[in-house]
Amino acid sequence: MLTLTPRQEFKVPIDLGCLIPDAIIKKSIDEIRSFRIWEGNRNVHLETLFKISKEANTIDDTIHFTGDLRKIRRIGAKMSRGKIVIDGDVGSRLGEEMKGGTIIVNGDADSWVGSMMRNGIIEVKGDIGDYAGAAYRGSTKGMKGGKIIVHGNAGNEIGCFMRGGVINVDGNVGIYAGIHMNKGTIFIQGNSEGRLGAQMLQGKIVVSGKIPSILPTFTVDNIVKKTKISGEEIAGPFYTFIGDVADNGRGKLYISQTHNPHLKQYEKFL
Amino acid sequence: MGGVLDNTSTVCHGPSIISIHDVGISSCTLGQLRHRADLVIYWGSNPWDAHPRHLERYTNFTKGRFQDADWYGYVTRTNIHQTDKRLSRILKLTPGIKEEVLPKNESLPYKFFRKGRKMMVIDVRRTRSADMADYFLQVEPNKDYELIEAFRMLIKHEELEVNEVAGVPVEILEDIADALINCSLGVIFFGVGLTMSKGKHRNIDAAISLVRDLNQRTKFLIMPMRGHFNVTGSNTVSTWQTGYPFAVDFSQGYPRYNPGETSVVDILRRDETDAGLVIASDPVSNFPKEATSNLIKNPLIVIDPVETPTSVMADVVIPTTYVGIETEGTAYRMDHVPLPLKKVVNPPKGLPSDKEALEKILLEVRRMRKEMI
Repeated sequence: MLTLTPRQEFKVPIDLGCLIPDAIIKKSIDEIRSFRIWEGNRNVHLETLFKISKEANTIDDTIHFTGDLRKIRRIGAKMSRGKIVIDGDVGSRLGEEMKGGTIIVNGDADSWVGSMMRNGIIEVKGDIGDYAGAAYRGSTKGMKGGKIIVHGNAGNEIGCFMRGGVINVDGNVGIYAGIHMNKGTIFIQGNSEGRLGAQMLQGKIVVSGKIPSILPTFTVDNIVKKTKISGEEIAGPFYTFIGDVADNGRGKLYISQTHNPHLKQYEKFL
Repeated sequence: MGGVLDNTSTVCHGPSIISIHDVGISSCTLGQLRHRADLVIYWGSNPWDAHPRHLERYTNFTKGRFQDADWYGYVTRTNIHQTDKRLSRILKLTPGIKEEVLPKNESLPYKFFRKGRKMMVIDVRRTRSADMADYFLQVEPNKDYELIEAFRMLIKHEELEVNEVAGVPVEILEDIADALINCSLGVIFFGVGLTMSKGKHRNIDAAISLVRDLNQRTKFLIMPMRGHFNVTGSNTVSTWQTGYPFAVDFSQGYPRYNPGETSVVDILRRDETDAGLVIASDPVSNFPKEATSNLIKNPLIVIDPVETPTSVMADVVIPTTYVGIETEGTAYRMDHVPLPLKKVVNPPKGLPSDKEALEKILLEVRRMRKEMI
């Protein structure tokens, strides 16, 4: 196991995209210390910013970060194997374009968690920012597979342009969850701020908490007692809505009936 | 130097640019609209106050080749409005007469079902432009997205399952949707009221999608009401020089772009800078307080012909000449048309233009970099 601790508090953003389990396999500790990374606009050795230690007898492809990592971006970008464990808060673009492996964050994460990821698991014990599992600006290809598990709250536009995989949020989410979604599943156990599944084409969003209103472009379909997310049964009852009709979408929203009495007006259309 | 280059669109029409990346835009030049547009919609913008020459030069109050000017209608409406105001003042003064409360949104006037030039304003409050429009639609604040999506449904002949959207009854929305379809060339001008309300770039995303849907039925266009002088020019130049319109990060030696991460307000808010160069703009009076205090606590250089709150707080101020008055140059109109600007008077002696000042700084930076290497 490779352990990294920051030497000082950082002011400028640090791009740590090069330090992934795939890159450290069969590398000696001296080779890892001389990795070149970007600190703001300076290209420096990894050793100048982090204290690095390596336990000889453990598995090679695990990286352990400790300390304040809020300025550090792109941890685990494009990784395809191994495990990254982070004790503390972490900066944006965690696990960008990830292809496999596991990232566990014992703290909060900033925006763009698992953006454009293909496979693997990201688990965040705290809150996350906006655009989890989203696409890069101007791209229409967001998260394609894998799983993002958030135990805290999430920000706006999670699962934007999502094309597969699962996002599981235990807390509340902001607006536009699953906007432009085209396959995949989002499960929100807390409340949503609204505009759920705007302009979605396919996919499934389940909300167990409250939602202020449904967009006028969704039509009510049914009331179901339970639903399934990756083999696990979720107890309802749920209103199901189909949309976004304005985009000829066939996406499905499952909204908790017990927490949303104001949606009773839709029952006359059933 | 490896810095970050941003322009004023980051605090005005940046969201429009981000949404254009996602869905594209069907736009045109203002000349087209002057001659042909017969339905002009101002959404979240107030051209009478913010773009004073816009209405009379490019849209409703100008005579185009195929469309007549609407001055007569404007004068009539202003007279009616003034009479209304006078009457309501008399009613207030007369004891015993209660003021009649008008409904918030009235149905469409007959003019919208005839041929000819029409003007509609959609906004959260009754502005001066709304007073002179043929129809004013008041939406609830932060509900623009729902309204646009409802229009998209109605244009596809889909039924809405709700009674009202954003405070507007569905019957009125249906009438407006008919008017949108029946025009021969319509245009939506959207302002900061749409880009900076809840949802930001997704509002524009939906508005452009609405125009795309309308183009299956008639001819419809959309255009942002750009604000700051030549902000369109800085977007255009930044795009052909770096590939990105604003918020370009050069810190790793090549241009990178991700608004939210590389945009100037976010960088300042996170306090990641150690120096600032401001050219002919005024971040101190426009940015959030947190960002401004982080900007002025570091060395700040301002290149500006006028005294602004930013130049008062700067460590170094380089005064330059006015482009279009003391120096010639090029500025881009809001429809991306470059206009040459002439020199009218001679500048004070020894005062450089923006270009000369920046070229001298660039030469010095290059010399210092060579010495460092």
